[in-house]
Amino acid sequence: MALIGQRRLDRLYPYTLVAPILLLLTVVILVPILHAGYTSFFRYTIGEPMEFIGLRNYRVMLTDSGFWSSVWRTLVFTASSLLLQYLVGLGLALLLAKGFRFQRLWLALLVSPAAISSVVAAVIWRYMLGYDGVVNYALTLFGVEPVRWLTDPFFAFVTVVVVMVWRFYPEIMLILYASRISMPQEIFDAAEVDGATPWQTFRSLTFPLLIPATLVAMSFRLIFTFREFALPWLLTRGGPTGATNFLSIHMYRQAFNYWHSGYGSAIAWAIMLLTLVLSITYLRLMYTHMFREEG
Amino acid sequence: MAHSPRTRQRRSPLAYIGLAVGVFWAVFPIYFIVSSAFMTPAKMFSWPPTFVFSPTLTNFVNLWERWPGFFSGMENSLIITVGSVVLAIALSVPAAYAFSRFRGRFLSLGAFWTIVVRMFPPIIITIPLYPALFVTGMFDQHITLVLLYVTFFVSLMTWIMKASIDATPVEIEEAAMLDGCGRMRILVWVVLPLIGPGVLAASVFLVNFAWNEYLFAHLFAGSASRTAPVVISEMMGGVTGAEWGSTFAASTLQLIPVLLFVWIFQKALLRGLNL
Repeated sequence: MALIGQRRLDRLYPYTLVAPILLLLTVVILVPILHAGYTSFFRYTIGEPMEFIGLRNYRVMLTDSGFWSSVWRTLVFTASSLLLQYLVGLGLALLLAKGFRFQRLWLALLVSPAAISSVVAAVIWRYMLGYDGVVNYALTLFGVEPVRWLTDPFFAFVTVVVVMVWRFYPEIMLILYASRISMPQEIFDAAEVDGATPWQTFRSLTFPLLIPATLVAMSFRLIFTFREFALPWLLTRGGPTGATNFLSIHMYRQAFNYWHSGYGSAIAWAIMLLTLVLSITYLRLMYTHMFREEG
Repeated sequence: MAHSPRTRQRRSPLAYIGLAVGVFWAVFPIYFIVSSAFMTPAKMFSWPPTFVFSPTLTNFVNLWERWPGFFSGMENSLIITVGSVVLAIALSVPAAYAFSRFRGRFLSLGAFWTIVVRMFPPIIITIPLYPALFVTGMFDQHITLVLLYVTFFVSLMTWIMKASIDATPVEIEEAAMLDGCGRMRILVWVVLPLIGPGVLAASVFLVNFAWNEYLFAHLFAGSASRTAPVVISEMMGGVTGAEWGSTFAASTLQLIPVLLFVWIFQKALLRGLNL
């Protein structure tokens, strides 16, 4: 490229480099989102003429008890599975950071669930959690009655949470592990010399130092857990009796089973706004918490 | 990166038990389905479960005979994954280079935009895209899924690679320029080799995503570009007792390549997350 020496073109050079990805992001994400916003004001089924109905889709949505119970369920699901993902990820990251023989083997094995597709994860857990499955067999060894993991509303919810934790804790574990092993060992040696108990070391040393990594890991996991579609859909299809009918599944059904594209678009925008509100609330909570710790 | 175990610390038996429990929780489900894929259906659902058995390839033979669609699904997955990685690298390396080496108000805005976009849930765009793909003739095309996967990963890739480029000295490029090397050639022959590890780290994430993705593939791929996960979901959807065997065999074949990939490149994965 003969751009050298041509000053005007020189200044444009970085923009030609970023133009393709900005164009792609705009055409594939921004335009469809705005278009969904537009269709949310219409009664619209694909292949049929659109009819402008103003805010009626939103009014229907906000007065639909199905929508609200779905919002509530999604929040409980997000909070519970996020907390467990974090606890499992943190526990294993700190354990692994102690250092074992064959360290890289253990790390590879612990990361494994992150490589499993939602579909295969669903196959695996539906097999293991079947009424005659290996989990119920293990329970009978402890004298526990077999559980209807996938057909009882409460346990189906528990199942989806557990499988989410299994599939997604490795990301949190990796981030926290990377952060933990990059900390200088001297401060931990000093704490030991001063006679700190493991719990004291964790509370006043390890955990505060992990906060930046936690912040990053959890903000991503929050956004991705709240929107999760594939895993609950493939495990339970939103059932039984709507027990796992999260917002993404609710939207999918309206849009692609009943073909209410206009109403589906309204739900899509609700999902987006809720994601925004959740992330802002989360970030504010974390930051105020961090500053309080420091002050 | 310090990968070495801290041998100075003493480890209690409790730590070993914890590690054993953790590894069991992570790996047993995967081991269980892979081993079941080599069992006869009777063993698969025996009570108590069988762990000692003579392996058989019956399920794989059945899969081959009854589900030819699965193997074309694997082929489609491979094409789409490789295509996504190639396109994502081609688009994100130049962008990362621009974000790293140049300053400007519109560049900052562009950088901000790539981050904001990551927040939007992919499911939102499915409703408007569905009819749009039919109108433009892009429904059921490999390139459609490639473009979608690249779009949702290009931000992460750009930022991982920007961090790599930030870490390489600009003097090397200046020296190359003084030697009369053109800008595009500098990008391809000077910058790209220097950030190899960053490219690898970013690619591991994308391979894992593109190979496993379900929502877009399920909605936007017809018979010509259907990927392996979608075929498996269809097998699972219509399970009558006898079909579990083929489903396990298919799941095994689908999970092993990407699992090996993640194992081999775990170091790159850690590095990518550490940036």
